[in-house]
Amino acid sequence: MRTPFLHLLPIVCLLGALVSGSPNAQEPTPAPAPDAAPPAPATAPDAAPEPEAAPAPRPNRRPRRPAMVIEAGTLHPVAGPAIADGVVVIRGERIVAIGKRGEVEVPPNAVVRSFPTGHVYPGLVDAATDAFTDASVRSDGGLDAADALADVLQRRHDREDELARVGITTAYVTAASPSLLGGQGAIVRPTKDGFELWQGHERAAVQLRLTGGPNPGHPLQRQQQYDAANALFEGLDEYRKARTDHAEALTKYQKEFDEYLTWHRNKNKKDGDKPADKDAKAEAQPAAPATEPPQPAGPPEGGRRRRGGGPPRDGAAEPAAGEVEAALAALFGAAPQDQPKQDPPAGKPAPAPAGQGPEGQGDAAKKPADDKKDAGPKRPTYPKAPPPNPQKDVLLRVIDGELPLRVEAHRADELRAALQLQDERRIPVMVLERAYAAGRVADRLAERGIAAVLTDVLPASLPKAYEDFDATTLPAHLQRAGVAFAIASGSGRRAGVLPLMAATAIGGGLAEEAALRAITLTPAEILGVAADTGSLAVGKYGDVLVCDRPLFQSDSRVLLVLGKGRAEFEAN
Amino acid sequence: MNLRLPLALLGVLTLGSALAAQQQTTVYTGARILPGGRPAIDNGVLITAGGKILVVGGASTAVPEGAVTVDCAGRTITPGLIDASFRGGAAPNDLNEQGEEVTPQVRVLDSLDPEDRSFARARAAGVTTVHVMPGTRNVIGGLGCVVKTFGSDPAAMVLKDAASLRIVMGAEPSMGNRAIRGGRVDSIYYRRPTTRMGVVWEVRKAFYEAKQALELTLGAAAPPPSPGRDVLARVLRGELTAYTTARSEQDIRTALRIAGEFGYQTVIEEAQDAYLVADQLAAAKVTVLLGAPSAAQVTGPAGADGADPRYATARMLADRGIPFVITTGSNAAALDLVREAMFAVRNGVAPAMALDAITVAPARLLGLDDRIGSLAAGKDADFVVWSHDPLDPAAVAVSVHIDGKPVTAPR
Amino acid sequence: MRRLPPRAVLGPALLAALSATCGLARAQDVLLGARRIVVAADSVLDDGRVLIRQGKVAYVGSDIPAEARARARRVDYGDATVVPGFVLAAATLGQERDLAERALPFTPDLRAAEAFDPWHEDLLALPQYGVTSLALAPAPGNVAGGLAALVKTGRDRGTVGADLFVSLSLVPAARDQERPPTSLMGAVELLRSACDAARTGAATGPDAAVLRQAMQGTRSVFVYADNFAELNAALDLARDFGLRLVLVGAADAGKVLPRLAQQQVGVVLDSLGPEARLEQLQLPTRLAEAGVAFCFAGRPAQLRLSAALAVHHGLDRKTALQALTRVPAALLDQAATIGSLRQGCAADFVVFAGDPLDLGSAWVATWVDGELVHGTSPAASPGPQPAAEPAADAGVR
Repeated sequence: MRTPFLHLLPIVCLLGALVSGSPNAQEPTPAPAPDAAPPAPATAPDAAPEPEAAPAPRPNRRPRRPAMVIEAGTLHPVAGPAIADGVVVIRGERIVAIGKRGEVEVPPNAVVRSFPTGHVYPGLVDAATDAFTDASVRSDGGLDAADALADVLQRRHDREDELARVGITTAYVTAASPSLLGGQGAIVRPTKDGFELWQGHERAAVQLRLTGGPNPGHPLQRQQQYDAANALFEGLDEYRKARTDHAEALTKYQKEFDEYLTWHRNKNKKDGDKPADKDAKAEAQPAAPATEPPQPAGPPEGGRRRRGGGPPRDGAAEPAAGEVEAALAALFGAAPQDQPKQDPPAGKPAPAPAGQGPEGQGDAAKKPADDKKDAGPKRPTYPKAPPPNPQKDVLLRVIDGELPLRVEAHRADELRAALQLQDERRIPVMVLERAYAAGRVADRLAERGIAAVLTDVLPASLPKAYEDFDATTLPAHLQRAGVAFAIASGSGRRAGVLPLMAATAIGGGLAEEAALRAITLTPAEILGVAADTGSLAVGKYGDVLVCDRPLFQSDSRVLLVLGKGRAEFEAN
Repeated sequence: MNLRLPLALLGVLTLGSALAAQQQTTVYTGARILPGGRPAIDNGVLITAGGKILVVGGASTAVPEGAVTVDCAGRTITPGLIDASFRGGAAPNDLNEQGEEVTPQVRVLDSLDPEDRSFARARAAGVTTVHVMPGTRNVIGGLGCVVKTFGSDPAAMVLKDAASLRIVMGAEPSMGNRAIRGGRVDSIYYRRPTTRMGVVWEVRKAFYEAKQALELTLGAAAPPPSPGRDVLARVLRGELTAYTTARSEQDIRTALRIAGEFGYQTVIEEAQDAYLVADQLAAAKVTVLLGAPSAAQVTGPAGADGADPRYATARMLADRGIPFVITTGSNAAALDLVREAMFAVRNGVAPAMALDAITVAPARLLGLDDRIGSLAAGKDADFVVWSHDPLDPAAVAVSVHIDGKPVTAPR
Repeated sequence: MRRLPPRAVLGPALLAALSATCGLARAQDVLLGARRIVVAADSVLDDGRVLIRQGKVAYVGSDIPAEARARARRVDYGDATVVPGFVLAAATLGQERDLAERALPFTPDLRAAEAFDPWHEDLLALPQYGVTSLALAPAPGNVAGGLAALVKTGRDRGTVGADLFVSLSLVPAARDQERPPTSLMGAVELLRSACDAARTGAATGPDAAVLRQAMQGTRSVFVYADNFAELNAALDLARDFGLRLVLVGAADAGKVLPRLAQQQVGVVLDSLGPEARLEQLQLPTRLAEAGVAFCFAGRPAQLRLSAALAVHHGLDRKTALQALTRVPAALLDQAATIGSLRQGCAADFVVFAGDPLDLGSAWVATWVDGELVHGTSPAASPGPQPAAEPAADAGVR
């Protein structure tokens, strides 16, 4: 595990010392913050996701956080049938074993929490909540697709943010704003003192509102709304083409510039051997990166020319331009002696040669002028980048299926509009929110694999205008039709009744297992985090909810909530 | 800086004693005590137990054993302040029964909300007792009551139910009424009075009928009982004091005239123009409740009355020997009660007299001077510990006690 | 319009008429069976039987004579749970406009029974929420609104019965700014002087008669009151005039708990929804701990949800079920006939797939006066029965 560093040791003494010293430095502190854990797997990226591999190479991690064992009367792993007298073993952040007591090896000196009559569930996953947002965000009508809710989330210090204490360990936060586009929701992990953003899922989906709410206007207004939504996807192909063209132009520019450089270099060589060793030195430096720039064929992003310092935004194209210009400077005999220190002036090569000496500049300027006469390649012009459009960047990711589009649509006509939008714009991943009339289009939803996030699954909790919809029997109906659905609280204030919502769905005819799945594994799948949470399975995070009674009984109490193996709530 | 520590200490002590305060004997030592109606006691000792004052005396006072001692060195202790005309205690709508113009029988106590924020504000300003009257939208508004500013139940807070009958002169009672000119025709606001004449007519009519009934009762045929008329009869018999709100010179004269006509006792309330009618006030031997002497003008709907307040009114009343009480009244621009007294001092009233005008004088006027308004053995342990002399602009109420219990968060 | 001509028929006459028309159906006894029959909160039959005769509970459990058992028609709900029909202690059923005489603030002698509309759709929906009886109460728009009426839901429509409590109101709705009284003190004064006048005999007439009944304790008094000042005023009135008080609404009841317990006042809480504040959700638990009798009213559709939410926030199941059945019946002085399945009570019951306080238990059927009025009937032969088979077009009504 430390081997990758060994060959670096002689080169970067300081870093090497740091790395070899770090395990020792961590020894004395038995339980550091969990944030301290990631560095170790990060050095060996292949070790982290595979729990089998994990215990072996990190024997010195054990004292930091002892394994935790949860024994319970009944274990509901969701991934499989319930286990009576079950055991979950958590080491670090993840579950390492699960099974019947006695059949699972319990590590020595593990912390054992025993709940002989308790019921253990995976941490609940709330597929839609407005917790951690404040009222100004919720009422903001001016969001666009590029706005990310993750940037403005904060803990409000009231009951509505206490998701962890009711057993929710993963939540998708949406603002439910009245605008057509609701920005990008974020996946958070509620903790006992707030929340943490789920790395890599801070921008988890794009919100689109295709409804007029309980009091709809004229049908034609709804048509307008659909048109507006449809128009958002207008011009995306052109935008993408402009971006691709730009990327291609950059590649072409690179190639032409290389030719241009080579031609001049050769000419210089021919002209005289004087700058030869300087050339060699200059060439050695840009050579290494120069092998990389010719591959910016991947995602054609950025391409904008940055001025001044700061890291370039798009790794591929940007250094290419910089390096090329540096090489250009080197070519004209003005290459500075100390090349590595010359890194920063990527965009402006002019000052460096100027510092070197006026005479170098002088003949550099003269020589190409002469060369032009004998039909050398013309110096290519740097291609102009198209104006950036963050919203279109995001919508392109939607079209490419990298981000789901979450559409809020209540009535049947709004749902049909959503389906039409999907047809028309070929949106690969669509999730429907608050789809009260989903029963009427259930077959089509099942056919297309569109998932639904159901809120308000409680008796008589819909507005008066919606009394034709029965939210309580809808889950059962969708289940029969084969539509994937999650039951979500919809608001932080209702977080505490999420289990009651699932229970209501049971009362509406849903099987108990399906109801449990609708607040754990299915939402995790919809959110794209099912590999890490949503069920009790080896390799997933140690997100565990322990109740004194079956979760769906009204008087069930939360005894313990673990998030990534850490206690987020504990009843006293 | 060095103020903080003793303050904090005092806070801890007072809070700590909060629970046991009812029975616990507590000794407050070292403070300058302004007992009210008597000379100040430097380095005095105040001993309370069971919600009552045991002893008020000098430094040599014997301290009972087992008593909790609170060091108040450098502080000043005064009786809890009394606001004889307090605007608050309930939502404004609930202070005005607008069903009729003359509602002598309604009791403001029924509307009081002990959780109204005005009580907390009054406590913080050192006010321990308030006289709440019905609002000023009726000609005869109803029965006022005297309550302490702390408690969870109006019945437990009340010192005197039916302490006063409010009568209002001027433009306010006629303000919402109108002649029928469109709008909702069954509105109760299509009625008299719409003028000052109408207001006076309503008062006179009510008292006339009450007087008639009173005379009839003395005779053979008793009239049917009427709760409103019974209240007015009590005023006429001198068992209940009328508080007449009158701001302008004209209204004060009218108030005095009607009281004279029917021969009942009245207090002139607000009385911004009292300086113009000093002779009549002195001759009628009435008490003046001076509303917000610090205000340069009358704000709100009552501004239409045309009163023209002067800063020197309080001094003038003091000079003429007219008994007066300083209140915050119905003026929205009023300051804290103690600041109003400070303002009177600034305009020439003797400090002792100004302090009396917010402690002893209102207690006497309300007939409660045997319980509140001064610090003496046997009275309610309602007192305020001030950081400075209360009439000093820098003074803040360090702790406020009602029935011996600290009722404000310590500063 | 399928509206019948208005009827001003009192309960007994109507019941007689009903039993005459349904005489055939009633002739046979019904032997009700289920996994769990909650006769009353403290008497639960496991795998028990109840014999229903003439719309009433004739025998419970082992008391059933063998020959009656043999003759009766068997209705066996298998694994289901049977509980007494829910009672709504104060409801206006969306008829607020018809249940407050806006022109006058003081109308204690008006009868809500006159405003009863047997075809009102809110009434017809009640059985599926488990409600079998309710008190149709005057709306809170008047200081003294009138007399509530006992209403029972039925197969086609409801039936109206006896006059119940007198309804008073101190909430802002009763303090109209366009007619007296406009203030709380005015409203209280109005009630106090009216009670005084009725007590001394100065006032005569039907309204004074109603108040005299209230002061003699023969008629209970329901007062709409929410905040602290209103609750205090109501409690003062009850204390001064010896009223049997029940508070309706009582959002701030937590602030007057000691007085509620001391004066033995009942409380009719508004229904709870998921958006309710934590204090509201915990109020039932606090009332139960203080020993105050309370029940739920408000939106009938949220009745069961209210109880479940209260249980979720700490209330014990027994008290929660009482708050839906026995307590409201007792507050209406009707505990002898409704609110439980004891011998002699009306055979009003609701069948759930499991415990009614778990939202996971589907509602199966509602019976009123020994007749199935809504829901499914099991096959006549005893045996395992699918408890809850949701309708095929569920979700898409």
